[in-house]
Amino acid sequence: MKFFIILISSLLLTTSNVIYAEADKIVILVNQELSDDYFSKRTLKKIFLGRKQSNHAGVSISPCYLDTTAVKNSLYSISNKSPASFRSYWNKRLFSGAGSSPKTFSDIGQLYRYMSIKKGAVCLAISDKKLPDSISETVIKQ
Amino acid sequence: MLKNSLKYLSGFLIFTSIAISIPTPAASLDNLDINGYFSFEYEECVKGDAGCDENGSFDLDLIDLVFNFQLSNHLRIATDITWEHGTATEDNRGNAAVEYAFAEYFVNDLVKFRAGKMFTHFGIYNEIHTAKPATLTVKEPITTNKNNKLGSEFRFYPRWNTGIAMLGDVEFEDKELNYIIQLSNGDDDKSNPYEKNANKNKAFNSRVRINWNNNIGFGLSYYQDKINHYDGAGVKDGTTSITSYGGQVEYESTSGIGLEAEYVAGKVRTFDQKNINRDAYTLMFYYRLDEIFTPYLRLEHLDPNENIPSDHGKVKILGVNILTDENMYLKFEFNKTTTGANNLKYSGDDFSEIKSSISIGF
Repeated sequence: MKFFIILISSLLLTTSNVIYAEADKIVILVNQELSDDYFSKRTLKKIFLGRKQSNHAGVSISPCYLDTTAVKNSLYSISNKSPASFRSYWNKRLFSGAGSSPKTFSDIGQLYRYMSIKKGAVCLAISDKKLPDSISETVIKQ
Repeated sequence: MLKNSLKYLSGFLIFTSIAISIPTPAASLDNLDINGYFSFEYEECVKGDAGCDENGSFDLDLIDLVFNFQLSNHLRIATDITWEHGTATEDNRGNAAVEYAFAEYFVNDLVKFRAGKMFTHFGIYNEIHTAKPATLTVKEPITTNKNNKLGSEFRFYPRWNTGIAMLGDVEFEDKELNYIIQLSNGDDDKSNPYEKNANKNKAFNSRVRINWNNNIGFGLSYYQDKINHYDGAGVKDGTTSITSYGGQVEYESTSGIGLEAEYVAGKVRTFDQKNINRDAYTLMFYYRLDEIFTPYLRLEHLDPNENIPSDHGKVKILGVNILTDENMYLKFEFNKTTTGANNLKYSGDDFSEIKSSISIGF
């Protein structure tokens, strides 16, 4: 029992939150294959919750996002879920076999590389004037 | 009507597989996602010893790897491989298993087909019963999910099945609906039901869930099967019919107050023509205090046979789930189990235990 209490105390002490300071504009990036596609907020919600898996042309959609606090807050807003609910939702889907969760990238270069080879990539990231040719920024239509 | 629908589904699956020519795909690393989860537990009796661990034990509960191969726009292979309790086959310790392994053919968001070994999609918990990062509590509810370990002779449904399935997502207005229909070998004590059906009957189950809005969702589930009964010499002497149905509610307010409720009932018609009516429920309240701490209270009840008085089983759980790092959870809870004098498993020997776990999803 003593061990049990020590274990819990130790783990509680390790609890921490990393806070990033960011003022970048959050954007939706898509692979050129999807540059003509229509993205409403509702469509994006379905994409980031795994409920829309292909576009009208049958291209398999692969959502991803840059792993920063600002981008994640935008993701939670789009999916209309709190961070805990979003995490819980995807744990249930992923581990029950419903499919992969949105890919996360801590490095923008890796995100661009992924988006360049994934024809159905739809990703949340920060605004960048030097986007690769294979990726375009899209606007959310209401 | 059901029989015809199943024949139609089977026919359509065969037709689809023949009609659609798929080039031989190579599983490049770009199309492979590897995820998984880890769970480490500690349990100890604090009162009574009928059904709990009086020594207090650490348990390397499991490590699971989940693979998703996206072979084309339409084809996905998914599998979950588990190693439980420190698997060491040379010493016959622990368990290594395929939780699920199936091929999924995506027609569109409304219609997908699966073939392989799958979880039985029934209620809230069965498809995530091994995925400890996906549940607030240390274990899934025993009354609705492992009722054979609390005085029922038969489970409401088997954990896994091998067969075919049709599933999809439907959206109407602002409501989201998802469904799954599974047709499988069902269960059997003697043979491997993931390889061979022990009788001609196919197990059938389905589930429909509706997310009414961002806060509340409802679901209905159904399972039906016939399993063989064997005499003392191992010779089949009849079949037992199992029918189970259930309803579920999942609610979470914007302020973090949550509810998970599930009711399961059903009927067993035994090989010797006896009827067993049983039901169970689980009710869990929780509150996300912040992004880290989530205390919870779960109440469970099982009536294994409505014709037998005082055979019930009840479980009360009070605990807290603590997010300690990205997708790492510490759980600490107090469990109290009480049973009636005629309960087949514990015969009224009540016990209490503490349980704790570290679970990590990755």
